[in-house]
Amino acid sequence: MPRHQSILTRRSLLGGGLVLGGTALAGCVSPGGSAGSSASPSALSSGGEAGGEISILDDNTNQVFQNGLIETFQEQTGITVRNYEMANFNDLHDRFATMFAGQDTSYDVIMTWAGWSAEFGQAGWLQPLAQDSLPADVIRPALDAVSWDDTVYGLPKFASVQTMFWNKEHFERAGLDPDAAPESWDEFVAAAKKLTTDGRYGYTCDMGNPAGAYQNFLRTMLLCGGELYDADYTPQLDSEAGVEAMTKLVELYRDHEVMNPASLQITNASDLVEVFSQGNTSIVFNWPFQWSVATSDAATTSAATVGNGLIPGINVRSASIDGSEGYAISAFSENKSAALKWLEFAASATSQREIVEKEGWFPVSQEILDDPATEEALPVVATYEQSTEYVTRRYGTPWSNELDQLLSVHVNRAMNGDEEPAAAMRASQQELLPVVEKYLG
Amino acid sequence: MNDTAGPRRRVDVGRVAHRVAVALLVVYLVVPFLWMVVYSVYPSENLRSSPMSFAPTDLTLAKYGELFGDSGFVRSMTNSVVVGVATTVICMLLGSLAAYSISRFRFRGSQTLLLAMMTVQAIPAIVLAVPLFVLMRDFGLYDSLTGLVLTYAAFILPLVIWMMVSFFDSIPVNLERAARIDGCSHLGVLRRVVIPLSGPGFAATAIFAFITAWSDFFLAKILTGPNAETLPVRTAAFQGLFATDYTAAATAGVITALPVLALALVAQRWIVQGITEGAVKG
Amino acid sequence: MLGRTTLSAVERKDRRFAIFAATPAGLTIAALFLYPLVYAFVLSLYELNDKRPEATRVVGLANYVRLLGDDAFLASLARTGVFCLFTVFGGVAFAVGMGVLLNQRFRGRAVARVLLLVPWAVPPVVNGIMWKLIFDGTYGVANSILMTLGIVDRPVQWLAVPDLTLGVLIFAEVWKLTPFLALMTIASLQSIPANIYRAASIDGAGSWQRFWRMTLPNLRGTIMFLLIVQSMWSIKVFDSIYVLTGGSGGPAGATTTVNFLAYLTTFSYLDRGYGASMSIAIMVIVILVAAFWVLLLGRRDKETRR
Repeated sequence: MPRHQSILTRRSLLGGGLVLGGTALAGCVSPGGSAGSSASPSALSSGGEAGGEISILDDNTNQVFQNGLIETFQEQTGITVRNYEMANFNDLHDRFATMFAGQDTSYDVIMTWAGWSAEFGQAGWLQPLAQDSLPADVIRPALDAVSWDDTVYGLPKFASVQTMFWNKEHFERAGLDPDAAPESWDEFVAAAKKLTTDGRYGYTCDMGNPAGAYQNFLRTMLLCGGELYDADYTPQLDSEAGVEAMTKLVELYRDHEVMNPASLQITNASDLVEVFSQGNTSIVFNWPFQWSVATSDAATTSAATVGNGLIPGINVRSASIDGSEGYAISAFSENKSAALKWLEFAASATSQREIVEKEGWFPVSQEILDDPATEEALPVVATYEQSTEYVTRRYGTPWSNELDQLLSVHVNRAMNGDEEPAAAMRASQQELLPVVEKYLG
Repeated sequence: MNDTAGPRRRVDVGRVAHRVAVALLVVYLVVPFLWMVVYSVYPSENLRSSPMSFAPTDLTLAKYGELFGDSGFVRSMTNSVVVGVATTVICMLLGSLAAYSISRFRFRGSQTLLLAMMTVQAIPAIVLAVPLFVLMRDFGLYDSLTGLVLTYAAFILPLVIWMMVSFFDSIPVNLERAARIDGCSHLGVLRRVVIPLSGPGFAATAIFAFITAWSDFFLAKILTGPNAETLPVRTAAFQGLFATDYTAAATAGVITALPVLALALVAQRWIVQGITEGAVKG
Repeated sequence: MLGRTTLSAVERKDRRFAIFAATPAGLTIAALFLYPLVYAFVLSLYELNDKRPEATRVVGLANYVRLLGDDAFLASLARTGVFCLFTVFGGVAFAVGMGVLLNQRFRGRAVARVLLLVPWAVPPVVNGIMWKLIFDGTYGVANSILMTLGIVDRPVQWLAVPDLTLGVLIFAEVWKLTPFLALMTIASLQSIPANIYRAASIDGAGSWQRFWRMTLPNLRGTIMFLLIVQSMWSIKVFDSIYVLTGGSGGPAGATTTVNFLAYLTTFSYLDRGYGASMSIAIMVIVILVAAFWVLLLGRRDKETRR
C-alpha cells in the first residue's frame, strides 16, 4: 500500500485535536458536582399552594394509582400527573442511581423504601420534609421506611410487616390443631417436623438473594431478642443473638431438615407465596400481600384454610421485620410543592382504603387502621395490630446494599455447611465494620 | 474428514457413533428452547404438578393473547423492531463505507484505527451508563428510540467494520480497477461491485448487527423509560418482587426470540456462506 | 497497473475519498464514546461515592492501587478466570468438535447446521429466564428428569449451591454462544482444500491423525478469532448473571465475576469512582487477553492478508 505523508500529518493533527478535546472535556467532567449542589436543601413544608404538573416513577407493586387514584388526585388538587411510570422493582435502583447521578429533573416523585431512603437521602438526592408539617393521620412507625438519621425524606404509601401464614389443611392432616399457631420457636420446629411429610417441607423461606438473606437473618436475630446495631450503629452481628440466630437457621435446614432446600434459591416473596398457595409447604413468614394471593382463585389455599398469626419467637414472644414502601421527592424536582401533595394524597385515607382492600397491604393511615371495615376486608390486619406490641425493625442504612451482599455470602456458606455459624457471623462482622465506619466516620 | 470418508468397512462403527452424536447435539440445541415454548402454552399448574401433565386439552395460547393485548408490551415490540432495523441500516451504511475505506486504501494508521475500534468493544457498558445517560438527556434523547439507535450504532459499528473489512479484503481488487477505469466513482464501485460481491458476508453482518441490537438489555434498561422500552427489558420485568409471572416470562421470551430465530433461519444460507468468506480470516 | 508517477493525483483523490468514507462511522463512534470514555477515566481518578458526597476528591491512581489489594476484586477475578477456563477453552473446543461433527456428510446436515442458529437467536435475557425455569429447585424440569432416571433422589438446588450455580451459568453461556462459534468453524473447515485430506488418506493417516495434523493447523486463524471473541464475551458477561440470579451475584457471590462486581460497586454501592477504575481495569484485561491470543496464534496473520 502506498504511504501518504500528508495523511500522517493530517491524522496526527486530528489525533492532537482529539486529545485536546478530550482534555477540555475532562475539565468539564466534574464527577463531584452533583453532590455538592444539593447537599443540604432546606426542609419542605406542606400547606403551600401547588399546581402545575408532576411526574412519578413508581415500582410495580400497586395498581390502584393508575386504576383511578391518579384521576381522583388530579380532581382534588388541580395538579396534573404528566407521567406515571410503573417500573419493575428490580430495575428501579439502577434507574435511580443513573438519574440522580445525572441530576435528572424528569421525575418529581419516586418510590422509596427503607434502604433507599437512607442511601439516597444521605447522597442528598431526596428532598427532606419538615417534621412539624407531616400529616397527623400517618402512623408514626411507618415513617421509618422513609427516614434516615432523624430526617424524614418522604411519606409511606403502605405498611408491610411479616407475619406467619400456615396451611390449616396440612395442620389437620398432621394431627395439629389448625387454629392454634405455634407460639414459640420450639413449638414451631415441632410442628414443622410433623408437617414435613408427603415429599413436602414444613417451612419455606426466600433467602436466595442478598436482600432475602438479610431479611431472614434479621428476622431470626430479632426473634432471639437481638439488635443489629447498638445506639452508635456499631454492628452486633457476632453478638450472642447474632450467632444464635444463624445457628437456628442452620438447624432448621441441616438438623431438623424442615426447611425446604429451595428456600436457598427463592429470590422473591412472590415465588414464596406461590410455593405456599400451591400447597407445597405448610408454614411461611411473609409480607401481608400473601393473604390476597393465597386466597385468590388461582390458589389451592383459601381464606378458610390459610391461618395467620404472629411469628413465633426464640427468646421473645414475637418480632418481625418491616418492608413498608413510600414516596419521596427528588432533590432535583422543579415542582416540589406539587410533589408533596402527591405524597400526602398517597398516605391519605382515600388511597389507603384502596391499597388495603384491593391489594392487601397494611394501611399507614390511623383512620383506616381503626376502621372496622379494614379488618373485614383484610383479616391479617388483626395480626398486624398485635405485632405492634413487639419489635419490628428494618435498619435501613446507607450501607444496606453492602450489608446485604456481604452477609448473604456468609449466610449461604453457613446454610450449606461450609462455615460454622459463629465463624460466619464473625467474618460478617469483620467485613461490615469498615463499611459502617466509612459512612459514619 | 471432509466428505472423504472412504468406502471402508470399519467406518460403520464410526458412522453410527457420528449419527448418535449428531442426534444428541440436535437435542441439546433445540430442547431447552422448546421447553420454554412448552412453558408458555401450558398453565403453570400443569408443569408444577408431579408428574407434569401435558394433556393436549390444556394447551392454551392465553398468555400470548394477553401479551398481544397489552399495549405496553406491543409498544415494546414495535420499539425493538424499529431500533433493530434502524441500527442495522445505519451500521451497514456507515460501516461498509468505513470498511471499504480501510480495506482499500489502507491509509497509514488504518490498522491502528481498526484496533482502536476493537478497544471500544472492550469497554464494559456499565462504566458508560451514567455519562451516556447524561449525554442522551442533554440532547433530549433520553427514553427515545433515536437515542437508543445512536448508542447501539456506536457500539456495534466497530464489529461491523471489522467483519466488513475482512470480507472486502477477500474480494479481488482487479474488478474494481476495471470499473474505475470505466469511469465509475468510488461510491459507485462500492455499491455496484464490492457490496454485491460480498453479498452473503454483508447479509451475515447485517443479521449480526440486528441480533446484537435486538438482544441488548443493560443499555436499554438504563437509557429508556416507558416510551422507548424494548422487549428484553420488558421481558426481564416479568420477574418482579411481589409478582412474578413465569408463564408470561416464558411467553415473552419466546416472542422475543422468535423473530430473530425466523430471521436467522431464513438467512441461514448467507450466514454460513458469509462467515466462510471472511470473518474468520480476520 | 498504472505507472508510479501518474499515481499521485489519483492517490490524492483516493485519500480524500478514504477520509470521506471513514468519517461518518468514526464520528458516530467518537461522539458517543469519547465523552463517556473520558468521563469514565476521569471518574476513576476520583474518590467518589455518591453516599459520601463530602468525601469526594481527586486521588489519582489510588483506586487502581486499591484494586490490587482488594480481596473481593481479586476473588471475582479468580472466579472470572474459572468461568473463562470453561467457557473459552471448553467452549471453543466444544465449538470445534461441533463444527467437525457437522462438517461430515450425512442426511439432514443442512437442517442440523441451521439448528446451530437457535441458541444464537435467543437473547441473553431470555437465555437467563430459560435456564432458570429449567434449573429451578422446586419446579425445574432438570430435577424431574434426574429424579425420574433415578440419578438423584431429591431435588438438587442448582441455584443455591455456589459451585452448582457457577456450573449452571457456564452451561447456559456455553449453550448460547458456542453454536455460533461452531458455525464459524464449519465455514472455515469448508475452506480447507479437500485434496490435502485425500493425499493424507492415501498416506494411510487415520482420522485422528488427520485431525491433528491437517484440520487443526488449518483452523489456527479461526481458533484465534474464536478465542478472542469468546474471551471478550466471557469477561464481560452480565445479562445472564443478572437474570439467572435475580439481580444478585449468585449464592455466596458464586457468579460475581469482575464485570458483575463492577456493576455492584457502581450501581448498588454507588461507589462510582472505584467502580470506574474497575471497569477500566476490565477493559485493559480484555485488550491484554485479545493481544495475548494474537501474539500466540496470530503469527501467520500477515501472510494470509492478500
